[in-house]
Amino acid sequence: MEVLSLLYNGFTVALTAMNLGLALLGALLGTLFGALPGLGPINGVALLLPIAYTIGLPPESSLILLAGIYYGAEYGGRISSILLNVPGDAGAVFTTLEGFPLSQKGLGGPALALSGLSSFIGSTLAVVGLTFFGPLMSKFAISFGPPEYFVLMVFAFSTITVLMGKRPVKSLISVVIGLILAVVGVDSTTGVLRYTFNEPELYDGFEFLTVVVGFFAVSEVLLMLEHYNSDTFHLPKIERVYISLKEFLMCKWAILRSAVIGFVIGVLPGTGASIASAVSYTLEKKLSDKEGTFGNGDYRGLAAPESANNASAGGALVPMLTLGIPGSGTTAVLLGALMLYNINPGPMLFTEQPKLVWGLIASMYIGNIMLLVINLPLVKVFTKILQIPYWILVPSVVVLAFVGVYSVNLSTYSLMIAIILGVLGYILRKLNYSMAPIILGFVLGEIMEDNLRRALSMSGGEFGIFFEGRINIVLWILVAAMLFMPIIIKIIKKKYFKS
Amino acid sequence: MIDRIFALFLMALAAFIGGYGLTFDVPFSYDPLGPKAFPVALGALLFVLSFIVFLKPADIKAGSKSSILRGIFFIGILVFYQLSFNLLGFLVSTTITVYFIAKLFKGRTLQSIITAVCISFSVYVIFDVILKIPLPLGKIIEKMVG
Repeated sequence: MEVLSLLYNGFTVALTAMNLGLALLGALLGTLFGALPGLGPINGVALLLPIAYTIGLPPESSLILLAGIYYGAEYGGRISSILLNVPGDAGAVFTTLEGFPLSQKGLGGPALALSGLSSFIGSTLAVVGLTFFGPLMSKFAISFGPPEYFVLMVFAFSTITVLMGKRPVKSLISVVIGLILAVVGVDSTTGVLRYTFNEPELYDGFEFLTVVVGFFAVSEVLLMLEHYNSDTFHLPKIERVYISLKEFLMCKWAILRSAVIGFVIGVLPGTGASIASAVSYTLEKKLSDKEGTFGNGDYRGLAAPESANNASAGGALVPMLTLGIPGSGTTAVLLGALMLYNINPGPMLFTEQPKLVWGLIASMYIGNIMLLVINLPLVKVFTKILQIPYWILVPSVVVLAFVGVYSVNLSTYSLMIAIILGVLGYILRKLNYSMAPIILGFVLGEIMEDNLRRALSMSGGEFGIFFEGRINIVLWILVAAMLFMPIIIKIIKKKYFKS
Repeated sequence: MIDRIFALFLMALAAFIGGYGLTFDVPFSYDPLGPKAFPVALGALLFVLSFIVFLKPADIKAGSKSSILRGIFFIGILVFYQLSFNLLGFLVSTTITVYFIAKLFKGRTLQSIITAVCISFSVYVIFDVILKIPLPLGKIIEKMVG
């Protein structure tokens, strides 16, 4: 099979000493960033990306490291969820529901073991999915022209709008803010300066990392200032990290179902770990909660969201690598990383950059095995890290963020922009606007406008071109289905509860 | 209330983006749409959406006075960091910044001083010396060295 030989070539890339080391480093840092409350995968990737770039790592090595942080964080997030009832990152919120009651019963060890195994199975199944669906999807996507691309982005933004955040209007506003930020700079086709205010540093537009660090790292610290309390955590004692085969087998269907759900939700543009874990937990509760054990520490309810949030990370890489459309907030940052290396993401990536794509996929098989070891026998080391006080943690993050932003073009101007965007991000977050849609809008803005204008050049200004051809029609139907989904779900719920 | 005020701000921003966008004239464009349409459309869309939020704002309470003051203090530290980064150099500027952030997160004075010195020196060594990512030494120190 062609796929297997490509995967074999990928392993020759991933198994070099440097890339193995980077996968291990990514796994360790990812678990760390996931475990520390407040610092999720996005911050982890944003802090490491400038370092990887400026020290001149080749793109595939850079991506192996950064992706390791991404899926590693989905493992790490469970630790503080289970032990402290504080989700380590957004994808681990539902892990607290069963995980914390278990640890209160003195079953913290088995809970960590089961959730670690579920993470491993979810994550690995998603990589298998990526291995086989990725090439298929990229072959299909090669037939996309500018009009199809534009409509595809409309679809991406409609899923983000409907599925993310509490109020669709606010999610859409976030998308639009991201798109507007992307307009700033020289217009590539005509050379007109747009919103640059005679500031030469803005001619190239906003630097990608500046935007990510501002909206995420800086605003995160501002939020921490409100929430944190200086009391040191009381960590429950863990005797042994193990799970009996019987208990594990009880959860096998929950794990497999949730892996599939997580993968599919991950593939959908813009929706990542938090939605995947919410859906899988809710479904598992409906299907399995016959004795009312959910909420009091049910193993199945713990395994489901952990399997799903890890699977969503692998799923989110599918549209990112095949279509150039990120499946989640963190993959938007990974996409930005590719652009930093002047690699054009899109359906040609699989054929033009086989070393990068297959090296990354192969490294994910290896990385997951590393993560299993890190998160089962060595998990106790990471529980110690939870005790790092904020007065060491926060300044370290701030300094690394500043050095990262500064190092990309050795200018302090971007630091000021990061601060301003940080304040804006803080206000937006306080008012329940989501951040991930902004980054997605920002990353996709230029490509979206470019495809819109190219499509209209092809048609001589006729908008009808967006409604021609089978692919466009299917995409518009998907857009409509997505927009009506909240209503459809309501109707189904009504019927379900009536019967 | 805050939600409504911010929606007004977004509407003003949208009007500015749309209005400014209308001035992006080019003598000749290769594509029928030109550089104007996309930003103007985004401005219009943002205006309509934030008007919806303005009409139906959510009831969101502002943070407590002390947390806002701490936030402003934190931003002040960051602005100081940005302004002093090249002037005082990475080491001095970072040491001062880290000290104040550590204090803000309730570190004791001695703890904060040790944290500040350790972070600034270790980051400097890792980045400038080992990874060869140049960090500014500082205009003042450079003058002294000659």
